[in-house]
Amino acid sequence: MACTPSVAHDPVPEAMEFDPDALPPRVPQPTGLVVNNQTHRIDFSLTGGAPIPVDCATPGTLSRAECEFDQYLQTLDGFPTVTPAEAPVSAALDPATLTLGTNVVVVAASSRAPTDQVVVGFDAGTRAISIRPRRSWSIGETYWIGIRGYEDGVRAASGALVVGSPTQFLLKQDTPLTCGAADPDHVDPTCPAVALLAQTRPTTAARTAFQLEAIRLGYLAAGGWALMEAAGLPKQELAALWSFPVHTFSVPELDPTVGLVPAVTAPNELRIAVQGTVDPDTVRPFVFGSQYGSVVLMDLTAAQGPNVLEGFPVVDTSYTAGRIVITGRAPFVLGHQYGVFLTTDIKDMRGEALVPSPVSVLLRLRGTLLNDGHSTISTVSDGDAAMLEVGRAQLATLFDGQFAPLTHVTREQLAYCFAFPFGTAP
Amino acid sequence: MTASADETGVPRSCVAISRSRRLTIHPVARLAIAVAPMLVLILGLAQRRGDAAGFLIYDLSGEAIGRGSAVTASTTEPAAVWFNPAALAFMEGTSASAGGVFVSARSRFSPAGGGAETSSERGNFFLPTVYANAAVHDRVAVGMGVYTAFGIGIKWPADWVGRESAISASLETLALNPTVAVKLHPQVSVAVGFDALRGTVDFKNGLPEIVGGDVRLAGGTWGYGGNAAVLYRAFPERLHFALTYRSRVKLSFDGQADFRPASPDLLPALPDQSGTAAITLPDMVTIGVMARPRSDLTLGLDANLVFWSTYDRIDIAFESAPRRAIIPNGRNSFTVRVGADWAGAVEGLHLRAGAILDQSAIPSDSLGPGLPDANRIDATVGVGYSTRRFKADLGYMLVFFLPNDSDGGREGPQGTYRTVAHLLGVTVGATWR
Repeated sequence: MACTPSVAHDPVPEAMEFDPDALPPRVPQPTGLVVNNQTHRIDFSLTGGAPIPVDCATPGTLSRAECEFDQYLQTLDGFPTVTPAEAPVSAALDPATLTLGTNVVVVAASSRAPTDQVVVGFDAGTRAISIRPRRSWSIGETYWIGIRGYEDGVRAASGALVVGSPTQFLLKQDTPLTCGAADPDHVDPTCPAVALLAQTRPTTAARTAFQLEAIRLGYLAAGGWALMEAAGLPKQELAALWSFPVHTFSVPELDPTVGLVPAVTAPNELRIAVQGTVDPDTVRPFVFGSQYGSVVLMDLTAAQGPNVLEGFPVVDTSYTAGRIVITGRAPFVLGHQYGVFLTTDIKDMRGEALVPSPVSVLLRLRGTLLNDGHSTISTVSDGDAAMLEVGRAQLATLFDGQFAPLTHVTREQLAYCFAFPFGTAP
Repeated sequence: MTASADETGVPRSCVAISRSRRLTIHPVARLAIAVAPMLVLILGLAQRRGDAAGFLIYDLSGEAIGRGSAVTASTTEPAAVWFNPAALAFMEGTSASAGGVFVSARSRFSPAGGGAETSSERGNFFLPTVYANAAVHDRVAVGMGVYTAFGIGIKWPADWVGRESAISASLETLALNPTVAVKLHPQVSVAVGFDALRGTVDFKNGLPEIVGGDVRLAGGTWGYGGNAAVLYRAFPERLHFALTYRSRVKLSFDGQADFRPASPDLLPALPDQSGTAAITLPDMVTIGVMARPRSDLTLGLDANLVFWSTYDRIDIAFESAPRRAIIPNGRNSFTVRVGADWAGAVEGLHLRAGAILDQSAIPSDSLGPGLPDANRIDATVGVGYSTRRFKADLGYMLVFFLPNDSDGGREGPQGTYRTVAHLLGVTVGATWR
């Protein structure tokens, strides 16, 4: 009597995060939630983000580079093939527990089979599990990624349990989150999920419940839980589950970090891998003074000389075995800096233009990638931004100079953009 | 040591010691000696609560229980510290008593619209009491009481329909109440006292259905109040009138919350954390009349007005979890008590009976399972035996709660509560003159 009762004070487990209100949002990415079902294009406004400005030159909340990059993403019907996936966590994880196939499961929806063509790690900088494709995601594919948590799953570096987020908890519910209401204005406030959400967001609980219910139904319709179950990761052990589609467009892939660069196959030959189909008839070389082509090769070193013509070596082009082949009439000059440019005049067999890979886009941006040593794009690390900014700045000089007048190609028309010193590893 | 017993049954060696002390120890010191070991005893006991109007436990002695606690104008036992400290001024010598009230209660709930009835666990609680008083001057007396006057104790099944409102509820208090009484006139006395009240709470509620699991909240605090009383002996020992007042006591709890959601996904959002809540115990005014039409028959009539409007809202604030408000909307309630004490059968033997009408403090639209209050009808009987020095009393009270409908649905499920409680009070005391 009279003594304060003893109350347990249990340790708090760590959690897979899902906080769209954080700045930047702490949610698994990329996510199909930002693909507009009507337009079939990425639409960042779907998750509450501000619409991307039409004119990125006008100062706004986004940096010019971020604006331009998001404009590019919003032209796609899925995510780029080299996009790394990541799932934020509330604490650093024990890397030994990030076991692919067991605690981290990636399933391609079309084959319904787990894939091991990914590399799993923990990014201490972003405090997130990172899942990168060994080479690239397949175009047109949808990937489901599941993280096993709780007793038998991933663990924090401290040894603490890792559990799911409250959002994930709601998505796991077996009954509708909106209790059958037709719209947010008619939802019963005592509906359990709505009442729960109202504890922390009283004014938007109903709308949030409807958004989550749409996602929950989407998971069920797409069979996300079942795919994971079949891959050995049952629903009750999933601390995070999300999916994302890869765009359907053919893409000349560029990602130096995984070796996706032009391949030098002969002293006078370059090959650029394209994922997806290509209409060979649309692959035509640019010939200075006689033909505006869809493939432009520049000897950037020679172009700085007195004769600009020497900056455009004569080449032939073809499309063979998934690669665009650029063959010089003469051997390329060792040590010279070459620029390879493919335009959107190259079409796939559906007649759709090739889309650029993110690195190509970053190199052609008008806005700077670096400001006071920090990346101006939230999804690009400071280190990557610093590395790319050097090339972007050099190419910007080119693009803002004689490139367009000479080639009739604007930077917005570029589906591929890369510069490298010939004869050395790019 | 060889001990033999005198006519009181107390070993002679103990009597010798007491006599020795009576000669040498000041009455106030004796009071302290009498109370101190009993206080230690009480603090070591694990108490639980019973029930009266709201969560007031007014019936705090064996004698009073037998008389329906209609004793405000007639009490002559140390329990006057609680019932009417002004009476201490007319009590001779030094007295002390100890005992307690055993409470056994069970509530049942029938959901509106039909469905299975749910019973709470039978709660069996013992509420110890210790009182002592001493005349320190012809006109001045002091007293001390240690007792439990407010408490809640109820436990429902963990999976019952009202689990989100209460699975278990416990409010324990222990009052330390020193008081001083002054005889202003041969017929009039007054008293003032101080209440230091230790309170602890321990509540367990179910978390919302979609979350599952439960949360336990517990904490403790001290609160302080005062009391005053007046006794007017219009015709001494024939007709008395009394008026007492006890102040409200605010208990501002600091405690801990142990969240145990069914899904571990919600543990990071609901970590165990500290919390605060405040309850204000009510003011209480009592008026009483004692009439003794015959020398062996004492009649009492009391009325309590308890200001339960102080118990209107409890805001529970957590470090990070959403705030929670309990809104019992307490209302001021009346209690009427009648009692009789007949001492005509055998010298020293008292036979007692009483009845109480007790008004619910909680309106039906805010009724909840943590405190399933109702209008009550109580019947009491008791017996006591006293000598010049010693006194022992036993009282029994049947507390019948009239069925009470909970029709608001805010503080608990809609339905009907039915409660029956039994109180058995035992007090033994001694007087040194």
